[in-house]
This record gives sequence, structure tokens and C-alpha cells, in this order.
Amino acid sequence: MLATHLHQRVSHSIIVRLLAIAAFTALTAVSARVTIDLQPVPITLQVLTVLLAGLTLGATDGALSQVAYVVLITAGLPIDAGGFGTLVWVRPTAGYLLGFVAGAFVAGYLAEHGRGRLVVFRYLAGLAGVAVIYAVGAAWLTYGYLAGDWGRGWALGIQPFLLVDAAKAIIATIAAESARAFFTRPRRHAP
Amino acid sequence: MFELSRNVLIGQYFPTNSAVHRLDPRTKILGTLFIVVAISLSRSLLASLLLLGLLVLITWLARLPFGAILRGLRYAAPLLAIFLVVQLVFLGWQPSAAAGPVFFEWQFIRVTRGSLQQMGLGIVRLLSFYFIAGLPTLTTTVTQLTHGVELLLRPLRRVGLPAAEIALVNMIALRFVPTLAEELERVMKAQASRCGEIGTRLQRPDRLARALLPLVVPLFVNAFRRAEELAIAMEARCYMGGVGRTKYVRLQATWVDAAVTAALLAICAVALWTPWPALADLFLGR
Repeated sequence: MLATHLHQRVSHSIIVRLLAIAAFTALTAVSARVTIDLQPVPITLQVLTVLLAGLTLGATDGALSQVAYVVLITAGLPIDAGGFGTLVWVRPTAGYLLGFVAGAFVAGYLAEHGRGRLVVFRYLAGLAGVAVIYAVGAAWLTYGYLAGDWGRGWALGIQPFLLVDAAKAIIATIAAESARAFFTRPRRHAP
Repeated sequence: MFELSRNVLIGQYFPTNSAVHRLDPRTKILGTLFIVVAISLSRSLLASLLLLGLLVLITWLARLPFGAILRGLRYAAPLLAIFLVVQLVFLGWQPSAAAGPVFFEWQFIRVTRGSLQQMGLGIVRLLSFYFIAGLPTLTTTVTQLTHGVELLLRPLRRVGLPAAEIALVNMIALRFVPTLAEELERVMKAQASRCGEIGTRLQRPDRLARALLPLVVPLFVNAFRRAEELAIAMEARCYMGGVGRTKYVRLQATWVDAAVTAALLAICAVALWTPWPALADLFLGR
């Protein structure tokens, strides 16, 4: 994927992998804090970044970038969406953080192992990633705070975000493709 | 919408070189975790007050300015007050708070012993959470925190978790955050000045995607370009991965750190498992 192209230029691929992971950890932190006022619901770009991490870095590295993000939050840095730091673990939304790790992994795994090179398949991989994020997030919410009532878990934790996140899966796919095109285009001056 | 860099706030550090500042970051991370768990599990008002007292004591020992810390509460205070009053007045109808005598009842308003108790616990818990959320970053530099994380994760190397690599990723990610925020802000301004459709009413997913794409792609490509440049720079300075690498900063835990960790664990255990008398019994009668 993208990282495999990058490491052709630098001999030690481990550094490139680490820095690409770091870039995505930072992107996740930034996108948690950026709210864009789209009607009717203001949205953050966080799910999008998680999908991009999986689609471009692959399963392992994508998941690692989210592990690093969760570790930083647990150590007390307020880089989660609410700025809570360690406190996120006592909040109903903590499940989504765990979902990010699983979601990046699933999206990456499906994109890596999918048959053919159709863009549609990577879009489906993105949708599967979204599904995993919401499954984990809503499970935490439902069993931790709603006493196992899945009806309310669905209404509070999944339904409001369905359409917007379908859009984010489209964006993630297109962005991953555009970035690939950008990096693999022929250049006049090789660096 | 365009003031992103101001909103991306990585915890501020307040240097006073106090005893709390000089503690090992591992002690502070573990201590924070213990206290957060204790506050959130505690159901007794007395235990919660004890924990709040402990946090105030730590803040005082760290010589942090109370005024500056509490100033953050000023903006949230009116909303919190409304929330708590609403809770006090209407919670009486919930089965969880209906136990005990009713002190006041008028039409749909009902104040019971249970609702008073829950409101008291809510206030104390909110204050405690407010104090503990700031403490780690106010007393520890980000560098020290990430070193602490690395050392705490080190035992997990046995099961295949790359601790040194995760620490490096953390350090670099934190350095990237303000840069990327600034870049996103610049891209948004550039798109808006060219009549980009940011902030319009969009309901179909494909239109939403089309509106967001010009923001996301430049940000994403720039992040990758920065990562690539930094990789070349590190390569030029002979970075070869975590194995066999020595450190400029070496963390040394002393007996004080062990004692503080043990004391915090003990305090949290005592706060959770002692059968504290209910304060409500003393003030409101049985």
C-alpha cells in the first residue's frame, strides 16, 4: 500500500513505517478536535481518519496507530474528542476508542486481502470498518450504561451516525486512492 | 470554525519544581489511574469527599495556582448549576432516589432524601474529575509522560508489544499534532476563500463526501509528506530502530516513588472498601 511505496526511497523501512503510524496517530488526535458545522449534525473527522489509517497503512500498522492514540489518552493527555484524558475510561463513549483499534484492523485486513483491485471492494472494507467501530462502541454503551437494552443502544449509539459515516467511508476510499495516485505519479526530479 | 489551533490543546505544563513535579512519571500515571477508578466506583459521599481532599492536597503540594485552575470552571459553572438543580428537583420521581422521606413536594417538583444525596455525590464527583483531569499534564512534561508510558509498557514486550516503537510513535505524533492542526486550518481558509462549500446544508452522503474531500486529501497528503521528510532526516542521523538504543533521559524511580504508589493504592482501597457511614444519616436523620 502507500507505505510500501514510501520505503522504496528510504532504506530502513522500519523508520518509514513508524513515522507513517505516528502521522496517523497525530491525524486522529487532530481530527477528534475538528468539528465541521454541517447541518443537521456537526461531524468530526475521527472515524474518517481511522478508516484511512486501515486502508493506507494496512491492518497491523493501522491498528498500531490507534493503539498509540489510546495509550496516549490513557496516560492522561487530553487528545480525545472531549478532552478528558484518563477519564474517558469511565465515560459511555470509551467503547468507540477500542472500536477504532478494531475498525482500523478490519478495514486494513479486508483491503489487503480483498480479491481484485476494484475500488468498490475497498469501499466495502471501509464500511466493514465502520460497522466494527459501532459494534464495539455500542456494546460498551449498552452493557455498561443501558443494562443490556440493545433497543436504546441502537437509537443512541448507532442510528444517528449511519448516513454520515457511509459518507466518511466514501471519502476514506477516495482519499486513499488519490493519495496513492499522488505518491506514485512520475516525477521529473527524483529526490 | 477557523480557530482550530487554539482548540487543539495538548495539556499545559506548569513548572514549579515541587515534590510532585519531581516524582517519577510512572508513579503519576499509575496514581492517576488508581484515583480515577476509585472516584468512579465510589458510592459513598464521605469516601468521595476524602478523595477530593486528597486531590486538593496533591494540587497544593504541587504548588499549582488554585485560582488559575478553578478559573476553568467559571465558564462551565452556570450550566452545571442548572443541571444539578434540575436533577435535585425532578430526580425524586425516579425509583433510585424515591427511598427515604420526601422533604418538599409541589406539583411536579419533588425533593427527597435520595435526590439530595445523589446531587451531593454528583457535585463532589464532578469537582474530583475536574481536578484529576488536569493533574498529570500540569505536573509532568509530555516527554516524561511518554518515557513513563514506554517503561510501563515494557513488561508487555514478552507478549509481542513493541514498547520502544510505541513510545517513539507517541513522541512524534505529539509533535505532529499542532503542525497538522495549523495545516488543516490553512487548507480550510484557502478553500473558503475560493468559495469552497464548507458549512452548507448537506444531507446526501455523496454530497457530503464531495464537500469534505478537498479538506481531507491535502491534509492527508501533507501528513504523509512530513512523515517521509522526517524519515529521511532520521535516516541521515543513523536511527536504526529501538534495539540497542541508549537514552539521553534515564528515569530513576526511588523509594519515594514506591512509597507514594503504595500509599495511593492503599488510600483508594480504603476509600472503596470501608463501610463509611452515610453522611445523609448524620444531617438528614434516618
